[in-house]
Amino acid sequence: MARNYAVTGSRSVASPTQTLLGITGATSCRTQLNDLIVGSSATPADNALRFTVQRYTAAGTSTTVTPQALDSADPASTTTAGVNHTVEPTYTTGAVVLDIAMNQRATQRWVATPGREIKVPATAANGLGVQPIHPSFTGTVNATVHFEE
Amino acid sequence: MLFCGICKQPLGPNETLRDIRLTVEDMEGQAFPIDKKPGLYAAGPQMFNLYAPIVAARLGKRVEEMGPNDYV
Repeated sequence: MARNYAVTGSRSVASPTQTLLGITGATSCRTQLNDLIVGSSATPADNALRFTVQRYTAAGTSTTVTPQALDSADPASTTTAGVNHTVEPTYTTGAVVLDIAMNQRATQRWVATPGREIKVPATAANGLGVQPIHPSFTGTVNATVHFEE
Repeated sequence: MLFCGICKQPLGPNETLRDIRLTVEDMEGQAFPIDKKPGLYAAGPQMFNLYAPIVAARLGKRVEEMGPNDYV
């Protein structure tokens, strides 16, 4: 039976972009992103932020976080997650699956239509990265990801 | 006011930012960015136009064949 997990992360925006949060699948499961919340906890201001979700084939270097099971009786997830990347994942050119433009003041949520979740291939090191994009804003941005595997 | 993520210069009226992912090889020999870090930049028109042919050449395409997502 499918199991659901949550990952949260935060970081300062940088240029060039540094990944906020990544989830990396495994050969033994099909990870599916089904919920994404992005916002900013910085002092309110009118910055035009963009968040993209893009596929990658290598996870880069990041701080490992443990995905939290939405059902506390579930075992640990097979999918791994990382935040605050110091070495960017190897993104696949053109493989942008979400592009969210927003005002810094207005948190945005994306929820997959049932059956149209964003799936990660069952290939080692493949995954999805959430990237905050702004050329000069350096405040903190936050993301929550829910996925199924 | 918006600034180019590559050269840090302010954008002019009606100018917009476009995303472009650069490698170190793309940036060799160019004056900007001064600190040549690979990654995804929000670029103003001048820097985008400077780097677009370089990125297209790396991908084996012509600029006319590139879509917006091909640059990221």
